[in-house]
Amino acid sequence: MTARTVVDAIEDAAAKAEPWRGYHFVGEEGAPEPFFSYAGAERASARYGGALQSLGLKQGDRVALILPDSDDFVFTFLGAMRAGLIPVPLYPPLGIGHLAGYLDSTRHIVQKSGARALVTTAKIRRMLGTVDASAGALRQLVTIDELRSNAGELRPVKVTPDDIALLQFTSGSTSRPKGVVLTHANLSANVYAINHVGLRVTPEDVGVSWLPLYHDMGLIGFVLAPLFDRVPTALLSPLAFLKRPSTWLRTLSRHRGTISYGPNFAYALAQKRVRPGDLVGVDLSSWRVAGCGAEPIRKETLDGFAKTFAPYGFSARAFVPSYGMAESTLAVSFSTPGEGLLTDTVHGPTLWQEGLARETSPENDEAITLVRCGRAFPGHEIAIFASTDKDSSDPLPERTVGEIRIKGPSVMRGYTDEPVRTKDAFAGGYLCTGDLGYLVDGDVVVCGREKELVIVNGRNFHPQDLEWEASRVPGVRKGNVVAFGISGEDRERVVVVFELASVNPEERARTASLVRQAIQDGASLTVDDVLAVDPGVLPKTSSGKLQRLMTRTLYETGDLVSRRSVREWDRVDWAKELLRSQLAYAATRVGRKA
Amino acid sequence: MPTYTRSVVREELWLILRKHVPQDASLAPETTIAGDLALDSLAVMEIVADVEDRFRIPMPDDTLPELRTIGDVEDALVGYLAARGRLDE
Repeated sequence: MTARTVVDAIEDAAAKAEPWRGYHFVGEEGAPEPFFSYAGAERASARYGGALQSLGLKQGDRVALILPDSDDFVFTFLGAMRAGLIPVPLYPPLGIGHLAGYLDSTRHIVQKSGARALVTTAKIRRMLGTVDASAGALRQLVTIDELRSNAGELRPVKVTPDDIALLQFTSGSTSRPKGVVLTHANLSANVYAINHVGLRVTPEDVGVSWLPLYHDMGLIGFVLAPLFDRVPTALLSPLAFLKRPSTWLRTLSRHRGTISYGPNFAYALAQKRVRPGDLVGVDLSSWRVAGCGAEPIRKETLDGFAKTFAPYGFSARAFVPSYGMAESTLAVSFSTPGEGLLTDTVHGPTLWQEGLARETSPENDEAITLVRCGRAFPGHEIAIFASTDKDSSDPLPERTVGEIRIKGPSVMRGYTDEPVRTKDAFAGGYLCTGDLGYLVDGDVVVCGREKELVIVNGRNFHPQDLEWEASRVPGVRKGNVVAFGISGEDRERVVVVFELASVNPEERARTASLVRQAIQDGASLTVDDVLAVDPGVLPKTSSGKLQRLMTRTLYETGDLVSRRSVREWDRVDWAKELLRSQLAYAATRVGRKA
Repeated sequence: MPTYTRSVVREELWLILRKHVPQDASLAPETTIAGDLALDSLAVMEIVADVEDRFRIPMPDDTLPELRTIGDVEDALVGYLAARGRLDE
């Protein structure tokens, strides 16, 4: 029986009195690793919840959290839920040189979230400075230290499955943040499916994760799902992984981890950056679920990972390709654990031009290999529709490409305070994922994105947001900017093409550099190529609308003229990758046909 | 633990940066890391790891966001080394 709310789940877990089950908070290597049993987590979260109540926050109030340290985050997050508040996890400032844009975008999201209070560290509070002035509902900026010293008694609150549990913001950009509204019923349904249908957790399982806790995969997958079934879980910081990817594997080995996830880029990064000397004594043989999701999954990457780490006991059968999104709480489908990567090899041109996934031999020069991500969970549905099918009345047959649409108890209620975008997200009772794919024996195969999303290192960017940032730069012909992603060697590459306001060769490089900086500041995204073209070069429809997909095709064929880039890459390799990859190219063709 | 002078810190830091940026990229104290060098967050974290290994000094995560330029990184490093008595005047 799965708990119906997170509040029930934490009380149930604490009541079991299993002192070895709980959260390990892994810091710098060699430093002590604080451990909280689930009973300990219950007590800690009660203190933080009580402290939040003593600030005068009332049931249903929203509270934004910007907490880089995992333990602070987990207990404040759970405490807020137990106090009947709605936590809004936001990402902390990361890395070097992104601060200006970060502050701007954070102010927007805090305002949009309707948060009454913001809990953060003293350092981040100082950086945020004026955030409260611009955020309508925000009344209090509280540091985690104040919260800790303020520990009041938690006054129990009745929380029901239909209550809103959290707001999950999915777009990190300045212009259009979007908050997914999830109820306790959503969380309970999705966690049940993850643990019991997808992962088939056993009492022996141990989770290990470096994924950010302000995103669905880390938060739902490695804070909430473990809690519901009392899976011991080691949490390390995303920055520790990015700094030294070997930390991930060493932590897994030390904790005898069985379940760990990463986007495709994490498996690529581990291959690229981990050196044999980093893995002395490491044993990965306990790792039974090596989940992969959140961005397009590439067989080459996972095959390479398996080969590199087989000497350390890693088994390719551990790969569990998964499909999901925040709008579906986290997970939509998992392939079967223990089976490894199941692929579907199809004829590329037929897929692109006719929207049909015709099986072919991998030896065929025009073959592309796509990854199967398993079937819908019980009580849920995955179906494929033409993007023009506004009522979802005509599901497409197997092996026919269309928009993936989903239904079921894991699907969000909508986006917060966004009736129009919520309405647009649904068609005939199905959530429109914006992803292109097809079904094979009920398994979903994702082969592109209809919404033209750009995904870099697991983060989603809407081209419109990048174009908006670029449009604000002086010297750019307003509204004449196109952003898109193309398949790169180990991740998607982001290209921005803009028209100059005037034909002045001296302005070209300077304006391009300003555009790069604007997107860096506004969206914390490093653009791989910025191309300035003369006025009128960008392709438009007869009604004057920019043609993003056409621009991308012209760029790829080199017809968009001489380019300049800070980083060069091998065009031949790149073209080969493009052919092999399951990325945007298929979407280009299918999209244009539609 | 080895000690450093400011000019050696700069030299070593630039050697590390050189490994991550194109040949013709120009480095100066006022060069911005995310903007001028167009380094993405993965590359930046790789550089941080290299710097930590080279100088045997931790660069706390929460100090990174306020560093913008190569000069900022140099100043931060000099500060950490001085605080540990590892800076020669």
